[in-house]
Amino acid sequence: MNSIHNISPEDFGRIENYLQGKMMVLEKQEFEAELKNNQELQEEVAIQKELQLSIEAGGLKESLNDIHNTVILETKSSKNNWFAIAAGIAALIAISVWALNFQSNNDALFAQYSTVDPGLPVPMSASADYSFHDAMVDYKAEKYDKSIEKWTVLSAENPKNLTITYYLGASFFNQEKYIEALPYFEKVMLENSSKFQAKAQWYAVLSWLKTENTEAIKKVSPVSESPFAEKINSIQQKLK
Amino acid sequence: MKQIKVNFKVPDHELTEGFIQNDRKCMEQIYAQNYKSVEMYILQNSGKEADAKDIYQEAIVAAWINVKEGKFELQGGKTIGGYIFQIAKFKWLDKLKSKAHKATVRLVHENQPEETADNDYNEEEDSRMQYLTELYKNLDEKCKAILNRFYYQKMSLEEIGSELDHDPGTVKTLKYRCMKKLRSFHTNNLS
Repeated sequence: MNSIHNISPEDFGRIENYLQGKMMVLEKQEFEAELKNNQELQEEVAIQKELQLSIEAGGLKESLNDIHNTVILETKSSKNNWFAIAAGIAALIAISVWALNFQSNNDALFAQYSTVDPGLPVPMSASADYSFHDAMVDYKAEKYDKSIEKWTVLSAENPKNLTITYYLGASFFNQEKYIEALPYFEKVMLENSSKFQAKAQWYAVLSWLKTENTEAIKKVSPVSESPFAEKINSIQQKLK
Repeated sequence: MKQIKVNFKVPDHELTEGFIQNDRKCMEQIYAQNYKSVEMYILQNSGKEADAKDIYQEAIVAAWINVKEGKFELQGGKTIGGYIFQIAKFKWLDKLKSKAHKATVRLVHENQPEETADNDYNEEEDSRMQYLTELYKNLDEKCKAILNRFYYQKMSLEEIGSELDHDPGTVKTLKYRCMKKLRSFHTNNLS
């Protein structure tokens, strides 16, 4: 082993293979035996480990802005894009009549089936779930901005609580923000253990109707004993 | 108003593994799932959208380091999203405190929220996270291109060679030289 300012390609290669788990069993045993008695080697391993971590952490940090731009969209601009594309298509190809029919078919189905989840009863006494019920009061008063704000923070602290997840979806849904509502419903509808599973699936179907995602609706098979099974089936029939 | 564009597709238990393996899909899902709660928390506590984005991204890196090094274990109802939120909260309260210190000393005791996040994250870990990401920034773009592909994206020497138009042997040599550079930045800081 060389001084702290230098390292040979061979030592570098061995340490790298060790840290990346690329050594054969025997080679690894030998290396670890050597490591026990060689303080310089120990220091070098620690240094290389730190360097690798720095590259990965730095790489992650660099990629986050890109990820941000991929997954977080400013609603305004995306709407504009959508309108621009839609307008372009309509102007170029004369299928507008068909498109309008299709749209109104979806809207009609939506109007026929859509309901608003009334929310859960709020107990009179203050309880440990105070924050949850506080948001439920806002929800029932149709102050959805407030219920979303409160439940979002609560949801971050209790990420596995599907009741909160479901009602976040319901708040967005009632604000007619179907694209925002969908991820929440989709999360809950995959959980067999949740008592909100069937409801979440139903509201996902309604949201897909509104966002014209007919393909997603066709793929749905109602969860067992869903009170909405009949409605879902009949929507699927009408979309064919 | 912002719109989140990713669906919840990867189940929670696979998400963490993908997270520390730098899987892009998992990263996107984690980013999308937890952004709003952090943003809302910071906006509610006298921050701006730009603060939220900075704090959130640093919290993700910090969580990544600690999960990767086994300093934080996901058990007993803990999730990666909850952990990121806690770190973001810690970092934001910390920032508010230092701002308040600069402004007036009186503010500190009157208006600062007393709560601190669990002991899952601390100052020392925070400065280490800052140090590691800054260290990487010392590298030139050529070195970043190679080291990032090898260590972060976990590409093979052959794959890197075909992307950067080198043979694998050259990539190996360049990688060694770049690591030596990075190592000297690091050891100069140590001494």
